[in-house]
Amino acid sequence: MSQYQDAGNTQAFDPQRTQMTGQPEKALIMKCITGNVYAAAAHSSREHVLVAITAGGAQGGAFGGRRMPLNLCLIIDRSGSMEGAPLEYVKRACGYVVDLLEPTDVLSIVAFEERVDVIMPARRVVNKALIKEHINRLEVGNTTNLYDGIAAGASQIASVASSGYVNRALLFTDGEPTAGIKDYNSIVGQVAEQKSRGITITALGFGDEYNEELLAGIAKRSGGNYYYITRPELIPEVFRRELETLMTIVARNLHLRVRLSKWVQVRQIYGRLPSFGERYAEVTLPDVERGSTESALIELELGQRPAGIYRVARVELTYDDSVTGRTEQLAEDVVFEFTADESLIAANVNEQVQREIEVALASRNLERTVMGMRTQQLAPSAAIEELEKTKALLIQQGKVTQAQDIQKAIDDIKQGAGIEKTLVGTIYNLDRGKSGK
Amino acid sequence: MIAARAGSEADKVNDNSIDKTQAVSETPDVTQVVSNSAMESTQMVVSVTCPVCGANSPGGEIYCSDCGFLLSGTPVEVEVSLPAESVPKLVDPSSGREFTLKSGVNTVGRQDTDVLLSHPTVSRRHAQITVEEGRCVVEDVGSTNGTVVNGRQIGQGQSVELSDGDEVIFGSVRLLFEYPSAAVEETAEKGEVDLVQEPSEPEESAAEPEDVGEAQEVESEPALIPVAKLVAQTGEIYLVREGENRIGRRPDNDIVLTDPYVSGHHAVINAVDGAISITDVGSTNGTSVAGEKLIPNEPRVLEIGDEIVLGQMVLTLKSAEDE
Repeated sequence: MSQYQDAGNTQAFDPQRTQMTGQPEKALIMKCITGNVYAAAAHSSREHVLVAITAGGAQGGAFGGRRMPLNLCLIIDRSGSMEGAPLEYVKRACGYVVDLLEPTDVLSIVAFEERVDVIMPARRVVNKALIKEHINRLEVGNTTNLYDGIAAGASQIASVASSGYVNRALLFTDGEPTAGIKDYNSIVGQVAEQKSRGITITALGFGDEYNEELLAGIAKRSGGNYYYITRPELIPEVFRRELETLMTIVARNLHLRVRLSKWVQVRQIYGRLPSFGERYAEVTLPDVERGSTESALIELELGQRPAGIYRVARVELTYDDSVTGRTEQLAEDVVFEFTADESLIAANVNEQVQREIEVALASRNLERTVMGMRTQQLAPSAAIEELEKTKALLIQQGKVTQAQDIQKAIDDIKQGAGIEKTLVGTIYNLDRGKSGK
Repeated sequence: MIAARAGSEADKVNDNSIDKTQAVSETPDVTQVVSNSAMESTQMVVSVTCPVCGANSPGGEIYCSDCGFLLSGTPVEVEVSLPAESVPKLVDPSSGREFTLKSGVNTVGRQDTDVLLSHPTVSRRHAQITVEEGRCVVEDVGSTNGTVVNGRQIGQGQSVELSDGDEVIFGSVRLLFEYPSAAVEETAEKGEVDLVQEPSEPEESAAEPEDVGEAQEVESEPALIPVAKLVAQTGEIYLVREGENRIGRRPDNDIVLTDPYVSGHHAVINAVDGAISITDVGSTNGTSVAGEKLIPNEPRVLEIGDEIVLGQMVLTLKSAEDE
């Protein structure tokens, strides 16, 4: 269970949220938790707000077993390096996907090497045996034309004109782009464009050769998931896990807008790239699965003012709700009491928000360590020292999975292996502030 | 907790507008606006003046629509000078986002700085702006992509005084410096203003005519003096001249490269007053400098010895005198 839900129980529930009879409850609950009840009057200060968006809440599983149908495209790398076991496992993984889908879902399959082939155009999953036959005919080719592969997959998804689907491409690759458009900005730029059309890409990197920065960049810009698959026999399992995740998505197209009162600025939203406008900052968040929590940690700059209670911001979330079947809006005020009494400020720090700030800092430390290793400015021994520190911090903040990742990276360095792929994934997960599942 | 409390107050207010009107009119700063009374359904609309910032909010609002003050409260008397409009600040003209500068040192960069610019072309520690006795001085503290004030690159460790309306570019983030107080102060206090403005004036008057002259020259006929050269691995040499140097595969470029991976219009090198920068203008295969990929349409400062990759061509920037 998510830590936010636990914390939520200790706070007073908004009476306005009471479920009305005859209307389905919205899939999401949004809470804005301030880093302190108080802020300094007469001085400018920096305070944090944690926006925790939780799907399901108390009614977690009670959606009558319905799920959003998927409009899924498998974008498969069949470059030369996939020959042998990897391609065989990918075929098996695609077969699993077909088994898990229902006739209400739409599937398309695109394979790329130098050329891009549409193995199966987007259509309902009715004749599973036939689809598997197509999959089994996959053969390895030459180079890796990632850009055109993504473009072809996205256009398959876009060819199904309905908003009633979870649109998702699973991009599987084992190498650097070697054909067509290869540069990071063009590829990630295309991904951002597809995202604006409602298409999310999950990036699955396999083996030691793929470009982890590029794949994590794709997933991050897109709001999809990022997986690092170390061994071929794990491929089917990862596909299955991702598919199960997709089948529990209850909210899509999340846009978070922070409207600011006078004398307030957004300094940053940790690990995300917000856009700014006159008195607001705005960011797109990934789809949310049932039972999970997506969070955004916002740092505000509060200008000086007389003591009193102020709404410093109003946080608005719009999203497509699969439970109510409508575009819904949630809004919450961010309120601080400005006081001249410093002891009140010191005594009312919110520990949960404090923890999240620590985790965000740990993520930046990791990023610096990865960069240092990559540019060889950081010796392995120094990197291990840094990683041990970050690991200790994460254990303290209850991020056990990420701490384990870091332990694995430490072991890998000791054996002279590369660590970037593991750690880029860890940073990705820390930045998403995701919990639950 | 507060938010929940405020929420229930909102219910009260909405459920009983009569109560609300009465409650509000007890506070002194209320102006009553009665809208079209002929209509039966029309309710009285009361606009409330915020005791803190003086803005008017429509009746029924719990918080001031401008500064966010809880309108049912009373501001506590604290010695505070409200942020006047006379503070120096940096403004992002594209979004209206503002960075207020405090007195003393303001660090500028991508991480843990006062002016926080979350942009990949901004260094973690990029520059600093010192505000002292009404003077604002910007200094580059060793950034990768440089700091440019009014089109002029600041050398590392060098500092430039800013005045109202100046354009400051950190990496590829363009901001405007605003400090309108100088004009106001001029009329209010006479003696001090001279101190503020004098140092900047001679500098400007010395620099500006020269600037304008050169810019005009470049526009009318391209200056022919090469300021640097690009040397290909294969030995070809391409001259970089003062002003704009367009690079690409098509013959209408200043520097024509035949490599098939170079786009028709690939990049532009700008050489102004000894500062050389390169901008990828949206090429297919990208441009990188010293191993770093450029973001399209964002200039990157070049230094002698930099290795530039366009498509598959590797060019090294050398000074014009170099053998």
